[in-house]
Amino acid sequence: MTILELKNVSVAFGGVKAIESVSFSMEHGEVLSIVGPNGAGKTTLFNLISKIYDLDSGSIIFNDIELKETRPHEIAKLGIARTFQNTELFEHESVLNNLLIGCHVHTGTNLVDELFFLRKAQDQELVFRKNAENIIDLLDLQSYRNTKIVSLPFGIRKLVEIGRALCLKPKLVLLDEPSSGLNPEETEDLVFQIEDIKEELGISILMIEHDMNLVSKTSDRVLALADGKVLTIGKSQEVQEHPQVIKAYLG
Amino acid sequence: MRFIRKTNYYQDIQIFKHEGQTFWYTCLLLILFSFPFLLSDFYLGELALIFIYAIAGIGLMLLTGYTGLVSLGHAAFLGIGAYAHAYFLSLGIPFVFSLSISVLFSSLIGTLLAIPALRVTGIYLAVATLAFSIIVEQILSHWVSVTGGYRGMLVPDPSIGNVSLKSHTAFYFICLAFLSSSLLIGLNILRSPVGRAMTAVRDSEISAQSMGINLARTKTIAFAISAGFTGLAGGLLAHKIGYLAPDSFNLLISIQLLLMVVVGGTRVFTWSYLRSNIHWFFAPSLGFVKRQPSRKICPNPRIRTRYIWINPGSSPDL
Repeated sequence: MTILELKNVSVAFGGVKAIESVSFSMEHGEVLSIVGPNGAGKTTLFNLISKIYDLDSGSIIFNDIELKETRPHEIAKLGIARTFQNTELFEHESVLNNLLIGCHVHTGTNLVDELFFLRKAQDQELVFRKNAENIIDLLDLQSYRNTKIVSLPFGIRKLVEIGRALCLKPKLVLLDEPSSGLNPEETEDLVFQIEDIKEELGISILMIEHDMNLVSKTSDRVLALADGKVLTIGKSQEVQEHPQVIKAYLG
Repeated sequence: MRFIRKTNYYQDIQIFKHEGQTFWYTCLLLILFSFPFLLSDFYLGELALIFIYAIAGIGLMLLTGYTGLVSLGHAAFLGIGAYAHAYFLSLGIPFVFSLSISVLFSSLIGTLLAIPALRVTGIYLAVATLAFSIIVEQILSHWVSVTGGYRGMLVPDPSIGNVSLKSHTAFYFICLAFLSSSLLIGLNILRSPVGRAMTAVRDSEISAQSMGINLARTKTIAFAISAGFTGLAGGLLAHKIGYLAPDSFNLLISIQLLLMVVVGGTRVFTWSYLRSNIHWFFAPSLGFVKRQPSRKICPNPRIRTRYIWINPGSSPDL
């Protein structure tokens, strides 16, 4: 079953064609990696899927819903969560609060419940907390629970960001270079964490990644992008040996 | 150092996290209750004024400290609250209803201000809110049929039913009650999704959006709530000053409010924040700074520096 489908997606910023008629689709429960040199349009593609940019032409279909007039904050409600390349956490808040903000889409209380912190709001807080604790256990963040983000090392921040995305209980999560800034040991752990997300939570993963070792260990398929165009899509080994991919990287 | 044994998640969403806090805040409340029997009317009046400004401070702190939207125009909401309350009282509407309507009215104006304010951020927002406060000041001066223009407006005495609340003691308790409930509501906001959405908007708009937070809605709510609190403070302030004139709510008051929040800690609720308020408004009248009782911006830099020095965590943005 297809979870995400892009059909002839294009976007240009002034004269720069950042993405040019990109089409691909991904299946439920699949891990699809996007590779490509700097400026290939990988992050732009993420920003298009999360509606931070608008498409010039083409269409994006998520779970049989076309993301046309969808506004950026509605994307999360549909079940797409994302992380950012240089982390965009809520820096003056604790890890726990960051995860609780991740639960925000499941809010069922109105302003009056919250102003007076009525029973409904209290119960909801407990449900959110339980959900956040599950993610803390999954990613081994117990010892950082009450630490503010500003005082955390980068590797942990990356992990918190993944955790925050998982708190949405998404169907699809977009990871923007999850391994950048991580040391080899942390990258090694990331392989297992990605597997956990896929196997235990049944979440499909679309991931931008440069570390080919991580890519080949985790991905079901790999998509190579250069100059806004799809070069090839297939198994990791095939993509790495594809002449056009080698040309794009080595010139 | 205190180690707290936590046995369930419910503990973490309570306002008082352990017995120590409950004990000390109860002590504080008892002391506040005993003041009318210990202090003279003058000091009760000054305390009531501190409470009033503290309510306005809660409002501004939610907007500036927690949502990250700087406002240089909050005196306007004080003015709107004060004038609306005085006007409704003069129409014969009972005290409690009049105050509630003024709060709602102030919130409504806050919501309207949010519409243009959503489009600007940072220093530009400060300028936009400043412009707003100047517009409000002009309206207060020229809408003679309602506000009395430059002649000003006399504020009727507060009363519930036939019981007059004019005495310093009664007014002190009213302000204390409103401050306590405002603090409670403020803390409720902060431990609910709406408060977390505000902090999310402050720290990263782009990722707040990706987490499903509606930026426009959150900012509008922040403005409305903030204006509501400040309007409430304005309504009470009207009784305190007794006579309203358009220039009672000028830029200086806005800056004073902002300084109060910044020096007290933009993200510190409760007691340490109240303490800064005391430094700002009470210290002069206690004679610390060898001046007549005055509500000018804290004139003594030594106190200001000292405050920041002994409370380094209180002013994260300074």
